[in-house]
Amino acid sequence: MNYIIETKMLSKQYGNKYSVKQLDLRVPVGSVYGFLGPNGAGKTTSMKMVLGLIKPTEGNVRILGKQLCEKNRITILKNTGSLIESPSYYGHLTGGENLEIVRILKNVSKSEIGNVLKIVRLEEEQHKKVKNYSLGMKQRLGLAVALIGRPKLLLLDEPTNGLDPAGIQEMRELIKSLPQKYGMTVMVSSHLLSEVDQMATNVGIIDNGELIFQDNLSLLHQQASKKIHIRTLDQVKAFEVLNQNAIKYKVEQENIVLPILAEIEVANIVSLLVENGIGITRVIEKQKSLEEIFISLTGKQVSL
Amino acid sequence: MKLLTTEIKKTRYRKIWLLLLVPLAIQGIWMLFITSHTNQAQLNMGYSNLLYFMSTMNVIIIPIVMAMLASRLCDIENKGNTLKLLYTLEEKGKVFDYKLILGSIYILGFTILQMICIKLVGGIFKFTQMLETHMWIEFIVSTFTVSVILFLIHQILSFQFKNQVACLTVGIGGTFFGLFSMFFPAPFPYFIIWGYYSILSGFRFRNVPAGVMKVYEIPYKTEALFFLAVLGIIIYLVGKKLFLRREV
Repeated sequence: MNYIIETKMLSKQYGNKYSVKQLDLRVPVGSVYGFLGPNGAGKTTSMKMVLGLIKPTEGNVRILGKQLCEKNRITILKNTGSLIESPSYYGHLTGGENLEIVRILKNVSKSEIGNVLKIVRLEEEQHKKVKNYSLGMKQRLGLAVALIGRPKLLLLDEPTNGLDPAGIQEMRELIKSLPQKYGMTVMVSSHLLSEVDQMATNVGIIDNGELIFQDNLSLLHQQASKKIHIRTLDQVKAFEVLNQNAIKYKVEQENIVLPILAEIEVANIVSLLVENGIGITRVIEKQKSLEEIFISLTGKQVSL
Repeated sequence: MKLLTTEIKKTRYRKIWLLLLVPLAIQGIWMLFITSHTNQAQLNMGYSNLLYFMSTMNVIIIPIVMAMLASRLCDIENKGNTLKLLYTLEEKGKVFDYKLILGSIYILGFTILQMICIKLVGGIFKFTQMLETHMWIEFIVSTFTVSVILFLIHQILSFQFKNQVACLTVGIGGTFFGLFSMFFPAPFPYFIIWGYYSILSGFRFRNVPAGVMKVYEIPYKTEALFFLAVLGIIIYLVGKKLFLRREV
């Protein structure tokens, strides 16, 4: 089993509008899978469908190698933990009592409560009623609930929402450490590119309900690698010269774009163009930011 | 069993018993008051009187109590957005069923306590009438069945509407509707669940000369109980379908 979550043509339609369309997610075992997309892109709906909270219009979900259906849903989900949208809690009960309820339902030992409280650093607040918790503490309690029983798979929907900067950093470090420390696979959604960049090993980008990119984060970074941009006074003639000399290039915004080359190679190409009477106006080394890549993929601005 | 355990744990600090004991105390005080103002002839029919009046009082009080009980038990799931968590841990249908089971346990306790109150008042005032087995069994079965169905209606409403005003409004409206249904011609009262406390009572009253009210026993309406049970099953099936269909 290479993928802990695998969806095939997963779709959800409300009326005439697709919230999620033909989603083929592949979350590798042991990865931190960043599920990135602008607000309203379909991240939460997708995660809810993965958990069987929403019935898909079409398509199917495989978790831990088993196809999810109503009959085996709970058995499969015993190996998962989730925090979807906002944390779920009983405000009139203490943090410890909330965890006790989940512990009983998950049928795990009592010591597990102490363990997860320690992981999320809520030990001192466990006797306080949850309605008196700050948003950050509720979020951490939500994570503790998800962690009970050391599930193999963790689905976290925007887990840093409502946290202060220190809390955000703490949460990111914690999520990053989960695969190594506890052998978990984490699928974490975010609308923040920088956040996914800091936590994830793999990334899926969703926009308007459709998956537009999915691979290693390093592959996304490759797209951000440095390029040489050349602008000339006669681009058409420049293309001809480069073609005649079998020099590979791309055209972006009327610029000739070359992969990163050795200094001498750049000098040779510039000389070649000049010798053919083409005036050079600019030779620039450019690197696309992840945000630019995201915009080029989605056509939308994202938060950084 | 673990679901029932967690349901009980969730009710901690919710003062559910207080919600049931307050109306019970009111009914107890009321029973003591009316019994202390009755003559010897009425005391001879003491249990018949109390069982009749208790059924009538249940029409007024219990619908509101059931609305509050359902709201108190179900609203915690709405407030804390816990259904989406519970659905990953248990089958959706079980979440609905165990809420109903817990409500039914409270209702059974409440109904038995009502019966104990009636027996205590009978002891205090030394009723000469025997409390026959069929009398208390019929009272408990009727009160329990009607109350559970009313609880079920309010449970459905509490889950469907996050704002609990809908549930409480139906509770208050049901009280009036139940009372008025006593004056509706047959078969209309049989379709108004709130009025069943009175329909299923094994006693009726008539005014005898000198303005005295006389309570007399009638054969128990088993067919009405059966019809009510059918209505209850239909409400359960519809309610559960709505609950399962709801996306969280």
